[in-house]
Amino acid sequence: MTPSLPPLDVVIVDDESSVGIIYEMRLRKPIERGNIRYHFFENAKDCLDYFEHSVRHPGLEVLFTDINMPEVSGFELLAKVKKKFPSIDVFMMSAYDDEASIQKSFNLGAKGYFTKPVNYRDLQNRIEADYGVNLQ
Amino acid sequence: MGTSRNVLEVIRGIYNVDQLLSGKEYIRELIHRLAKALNVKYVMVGHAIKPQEKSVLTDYLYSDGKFIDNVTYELEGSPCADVLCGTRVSCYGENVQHLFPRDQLLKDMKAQSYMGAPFFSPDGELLGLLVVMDAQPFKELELMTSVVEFFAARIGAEYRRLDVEETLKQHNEDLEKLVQERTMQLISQEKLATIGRITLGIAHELKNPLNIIINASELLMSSEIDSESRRRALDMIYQYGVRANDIITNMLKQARQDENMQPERIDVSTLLSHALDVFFRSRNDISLKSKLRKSIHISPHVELNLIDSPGVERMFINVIDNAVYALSEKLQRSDGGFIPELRVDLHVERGRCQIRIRDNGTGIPQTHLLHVCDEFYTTKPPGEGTGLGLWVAKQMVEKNRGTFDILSKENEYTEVIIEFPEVFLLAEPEVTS
Repeated sequence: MTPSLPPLDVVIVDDESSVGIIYEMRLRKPIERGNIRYHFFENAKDCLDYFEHSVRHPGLEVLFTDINMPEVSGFELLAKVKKKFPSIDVFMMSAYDDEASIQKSFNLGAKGYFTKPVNYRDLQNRIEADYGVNLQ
Repeated sequence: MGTSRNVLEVIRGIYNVDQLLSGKEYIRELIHRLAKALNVKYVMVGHAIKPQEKSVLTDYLYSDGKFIDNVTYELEGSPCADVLCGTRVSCYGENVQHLFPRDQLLKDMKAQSYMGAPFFSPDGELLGLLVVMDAQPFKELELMTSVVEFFAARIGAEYRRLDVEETLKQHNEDLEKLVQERTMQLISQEKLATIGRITLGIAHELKNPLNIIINASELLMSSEIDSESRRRALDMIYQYGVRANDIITNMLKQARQDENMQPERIDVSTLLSHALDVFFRSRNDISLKSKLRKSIHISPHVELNLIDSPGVERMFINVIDNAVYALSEKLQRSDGGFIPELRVDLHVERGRCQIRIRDNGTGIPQTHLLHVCDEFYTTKPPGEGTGLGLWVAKQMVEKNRGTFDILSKENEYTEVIIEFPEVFLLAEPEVTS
């Protein structure tokens, strides 16, 4: 237990609400321990609203977003977040596995790219490595 | 009547037929006049039945002042056998029944005299024969021979003309059939092209539930999971399995060839949303996708009686595809200042469902605007479009008693306005018959 460590804000955006439920179940333990504050949004607009109305914690906020969503795409969300809230790390999670989508994500400032179905072990390793939080 | 009659006078008298008559009518008139001028009871025109040519079928049979039903008779033992063998007139001025005792037709007709002349095609092929007969002996043999020979040739010419006409008609029918077949082929090609275009979208659509099924299964396989999470994960696997199945069922419906479709009550709001969804999932051109501003306003739960709803969905996809094509073209030409916009609107107005799909792309020049819904009209390079997309789209709407209109200004916008009649609102009670 590392209660002294401040919590990591994990924000997930996907138009499939079940994706939110699955990650919530996956992260149940660190959430209960207070290592992670979990936020899920079904669209980019709600996510941006949340960022507008919350306080920044540089290095302790990470966004995972789907790309293909109705109305506002994950690319747009990525671009807006990097422009307005550059301290927030953004990872893409998409069924697209083409070079162009991946390249575009990095050009827009994404920190990483996971292709769906996302291997949870990979995701867990990445979060633990980058943010020093224990997800077990 | 005496032997003093002039052959040319007789021929001219018969020949003086109404100029407007042609073909069969002309031949009938000639026969009628021939019988009258030669004062004979019977005239017949017929042809040997191919391929054996052992019997003759009459095409015209004139008896006692009127046309009667045609007959078939055996050539063997008939004076006609000689006619068809020779090249000139065969004549038996009297006693023809005694000369051809086996000819039943001569007996039935009580024929005394017989004169027959063959007629040929230009390459010498026998086409048929002209026969005159009487219950009396012939009187003016020489005159009759000339007249019959002359008119056999004339009737032969008419036969050839009819034959050419028939062949031409047949060629035209064949051509028309060919055009129809090719059109059907192109229509199904166009349909397959649309299905091909949306297959990618459907594949992506299918990946969503599959990904969730995979993630939920992984969750179930992980050791530490409470019973509530287990229940939810199982429920998800089931729900998304059903959804994946629905997607496949829909895709199969698209590929189905169903000619006699009955109208079905369809939620056109969902149909249009799904078309948009599938279309955009299928598009992977990031430069347009990331710049595109979509403004979608679809009134929910608008229901219509639709024939061939998969076809209506393809129609939506085709129209959206055209809009995005126009946006993509304009974006490529622009220097970066252009913001592509797609507006899709569905609402009910005075009991009609109106759908507007508008883009601010390249637009359609006035000269093309009148023709864009015409069959085979295309401005794309050969091989890139069948020229049937909008035509099929319009037909599909009209098949559902709707209207399909296009407004456009070059370089500014294109707006497709589709209207369907007879909207069912959800408040309306179910009509049962």
